Amino acid sequence: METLVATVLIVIIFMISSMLLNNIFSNSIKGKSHFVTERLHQLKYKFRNENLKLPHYENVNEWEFSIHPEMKEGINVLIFKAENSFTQKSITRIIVDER
Amino acid sequence: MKWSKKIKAGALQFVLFIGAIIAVLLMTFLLITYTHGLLDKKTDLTVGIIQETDFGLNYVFKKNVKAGSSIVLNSLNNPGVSTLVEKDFWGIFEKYSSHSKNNAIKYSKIAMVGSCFSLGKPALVLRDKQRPLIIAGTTKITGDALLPAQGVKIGTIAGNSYGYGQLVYGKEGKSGLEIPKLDPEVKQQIDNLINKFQNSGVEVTLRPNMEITNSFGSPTKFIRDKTIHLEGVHLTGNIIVSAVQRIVVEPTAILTDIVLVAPEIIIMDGTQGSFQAIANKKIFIGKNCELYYPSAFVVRENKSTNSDIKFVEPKLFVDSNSIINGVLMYLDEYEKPTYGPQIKIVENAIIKGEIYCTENLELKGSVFGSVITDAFIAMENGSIYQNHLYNGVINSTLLPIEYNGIVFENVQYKKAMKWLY
Repeated sequence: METLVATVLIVIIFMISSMLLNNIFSNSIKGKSHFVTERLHQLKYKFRNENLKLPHYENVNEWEFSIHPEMKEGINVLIFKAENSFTQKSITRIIVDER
Repeated sequence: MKWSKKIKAGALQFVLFIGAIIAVLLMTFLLITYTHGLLDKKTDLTVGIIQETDFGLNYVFKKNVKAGSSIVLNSLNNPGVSTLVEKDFWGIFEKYSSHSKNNAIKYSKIAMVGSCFSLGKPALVLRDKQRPLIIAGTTKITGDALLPAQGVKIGTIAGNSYGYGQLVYGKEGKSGLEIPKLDPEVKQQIDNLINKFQNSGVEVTLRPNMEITNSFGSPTKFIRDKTIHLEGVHLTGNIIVSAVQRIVVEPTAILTDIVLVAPEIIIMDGTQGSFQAIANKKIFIGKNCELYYPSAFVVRENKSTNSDIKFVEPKLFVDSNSIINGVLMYLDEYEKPTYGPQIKIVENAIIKGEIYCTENLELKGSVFGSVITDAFIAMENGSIYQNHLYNGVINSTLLPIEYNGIVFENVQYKKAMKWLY
């Protein structure tokens, strides 16, 4: 009897722990949008140094990247935007047009 | 065995033990991911704040802000981050400081700023005084030139005619009745420096072999005296040296980014460093000096000092084999024509940057950059040749595109020339 209860208990403990671990790691991986911010950085660099033509659009996996100029408070700014086409999550970066 | 008999560990006890171990392991994993996430966010925020300072600077370069004023920007990219940008002057160049912060993290950037010309500067701008520019000897102008309507003509000085096939190696355009104007704030700043020595500030007395460094984030330190002899001293940063009579800079002095203000400034042979000098009578730069970018030498005369001397000696003189990276400037409000050079650059002297002169320029050395002048003059064999350029070389193609210099009126593009500390 004792061993039976012990077996059940240990199985439950392992189940819970594995679920927890799985949850933690999958969350921390899902929450990362490093690749997107990195790509935005790259685009900024390319814009400054490689004469990227505007407006610029590109698709990487489910993310849509766009650069378009805009006027804000009398100053030309560029809006770098990355938008996830499934989750509608978007990341924007705004810089001043130095040209 | 002894042990197995002593511990009557039932399976349940064992399970509890294992459970405890697993709980501890899980906690550690949780803690690791949590701290990881926290640090991640913090670095992201720090990077964001650093970019915010850049954004603030670029924003202010585009907006015309008055010196001494500041603006506050709320970040569009990072909520909760605000940026304070202040504009001021350091010598004749603009100084911007941008401070971004949120609750915990702060970051500041201070930059010395000049105007940039992404399309390149013209080699020469000569005011239209209804007379042509006459070139002789080994003169060579490379780059675009804005000239009087009469254009360029070949002349002869002391039997030396013009030696090259083409008059201007670049495009020729027409100049106006006035040379490009300085930004009024720059003029104001020069006047302020010359006239108002008595600003409040920390005053330091100079001792031999002294070493002073002052950050641009802290208040300016002043060194004041009647005459100042800079010898063996080591001055860096936010320091203004002002004398009522004269400043002499010896080659043993190491000066970086400081500003000198005096009626007369003498830079002895062989001096090295990067600093700005502002005088209202004269500046003399000796032989073999090497002055690094961004240096500036400004002589600003007002009507009273420039009385009725017919033949004037050069107000801004650069001796042979000296290399100056930066700006030479002569400003006055004198209306009568004078018959001597106000800026004189002798043979083998090299100016990499800009020359701005509201009177006569005698150029025998080389300028890798841009010359803006009211008139040229050449003094040979006791004769005065007006609007003659003799043995002078002007080449704007050798000036790097990254060069930023004098801020003119209505300038659109500004860039950091040096990050300050």
